[in-house]
Amino acid sequence: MSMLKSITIGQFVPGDSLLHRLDARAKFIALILIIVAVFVVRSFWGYLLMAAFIFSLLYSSKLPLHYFLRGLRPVYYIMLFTLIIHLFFTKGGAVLLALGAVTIEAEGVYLGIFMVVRIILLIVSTSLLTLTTSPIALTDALEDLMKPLSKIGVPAHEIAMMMTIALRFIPTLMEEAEKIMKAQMARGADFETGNVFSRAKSLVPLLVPLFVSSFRRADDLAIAMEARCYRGGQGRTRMRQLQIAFRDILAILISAALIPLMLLLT
Amino acid sequence: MRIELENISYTYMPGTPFEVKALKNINLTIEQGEYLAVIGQTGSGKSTLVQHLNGLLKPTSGRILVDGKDISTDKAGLREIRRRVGLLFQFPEHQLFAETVYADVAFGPKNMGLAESEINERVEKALRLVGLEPEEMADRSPFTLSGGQMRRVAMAGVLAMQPEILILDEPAAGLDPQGKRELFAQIDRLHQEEGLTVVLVSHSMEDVASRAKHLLVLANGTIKMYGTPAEVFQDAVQLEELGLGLPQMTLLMHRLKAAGKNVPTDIFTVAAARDAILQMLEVQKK
Repeated sequence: MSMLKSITIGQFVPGDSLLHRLDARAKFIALILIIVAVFVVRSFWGYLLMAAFIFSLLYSSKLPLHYFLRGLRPVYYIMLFTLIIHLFFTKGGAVLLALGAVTIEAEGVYLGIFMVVRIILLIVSTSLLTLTTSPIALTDALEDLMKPLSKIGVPAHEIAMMMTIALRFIPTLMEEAEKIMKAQMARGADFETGNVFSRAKSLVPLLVPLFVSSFRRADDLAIAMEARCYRGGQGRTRMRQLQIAFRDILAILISAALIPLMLLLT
Repeated sequence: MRIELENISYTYMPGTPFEVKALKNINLTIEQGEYLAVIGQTGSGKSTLVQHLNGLLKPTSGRILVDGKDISTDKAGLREIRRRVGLLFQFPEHQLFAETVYADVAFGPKNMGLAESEINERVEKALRLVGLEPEEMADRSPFTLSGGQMRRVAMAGVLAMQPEILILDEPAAGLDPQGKRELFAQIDRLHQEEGLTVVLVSHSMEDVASRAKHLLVLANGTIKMYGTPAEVFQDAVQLEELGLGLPQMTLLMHRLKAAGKNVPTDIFTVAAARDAILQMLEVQKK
């Protein structure tokens, strides 16, 4: 089960901070603006300001720091790789270290560190959205934001519905997988040792029942939805109406203001 | 074999807002030859408890001793323990995966590294034990069977490992009355004839009262009551509070007694109740 625990997709942590209360659509737009801002940063002061902004948001979310660190774990190697590449291959500025033909120069150190900071800021700001917004609110927001696109034939509602269903069933499937895994382990199955091939083979007793039950669930769900007259997005209303409040507009405006600010700070 | 739980606690997802204390300070000894029923409402920790008995879950604190040996310090022994302690999960038919019934039942023995002839023998015996004809069933796909048959195949898969203890988590869930009766009769037979130690998890007093030697009542992760069925049923009030209640016939006897009739109260089945009432009437006549 150590294997299953490391997959954290349903990341949402319920809470009562300002970030939790913001409208999901506003958060989504604000995130995109912040990401753009992170990409147009051009100076040390710009990075400092962005970092201060994002970390103060993190603080205001009242979530423990280790949730964000967990989100960074998968990109540790990418960060390390980026840093090393820049250290050795970006040239310019004073030579800090020379080992024969290999030199590390100031510009490389500078850029390498900035790139790593940029990756951290991107991951942390994205985590801010997924940690403070329930998956359902996220897909609702996506559907709403994609609505204009349905005029040109994008099936906005269907995409959102598929995402909702997929998200809804991730914990169920994980639970099911864990249960089947345990049941097979109780019969002496071994999922943790052996080489790649024997491990792949040992997954058959897990995957076959998982597929079978997924199809059964899909069937049941389809029948349950049809029994309640589900017929797509036409004229469908929501139990929870999304409502834009003053604070949502403010959040978008502040995030939007970051972009010209970053462009000005050179 | 004898399993002792010493001060077991188990917490799901510790250190997160989703933290749940599923078990709190459980002390329990399961002796060889026991027939124990673990009763409690949904979420009381029954399933969590039984998964400790074969080392599928490791207690957050406390020790589990099998024949006096601590299983958390003995990693190599874990496989051996899983062989000796057979665990049948709730809705076990969902774990079937192989192309044939034979291959599925043989999965456990194969993992034990037994010889082909031995596997063959065990599969046949296991299928017979659950009331399926090996000749007829062995080559069929488990996915073409009825729900009840699938459950039997899954049970045969556990029995083929020839465990000393058989743990069944809600084995009768979703079966019709006939299937339920047959299943419990089979479990009783395994206990009596094959000498298996049985641990039965259930939320229904009705199903377990007449067969179990001991009842363990769980609520909110703690042991609320433990004893023979007759002992546990003495405290009808607490059982009612726990949302479990008495078996109907026991309740009837308690009511008769309260109405001043001279009847025993350790009665769990209709047949026993009939005899007791007839005897009471007999005595009254005289």
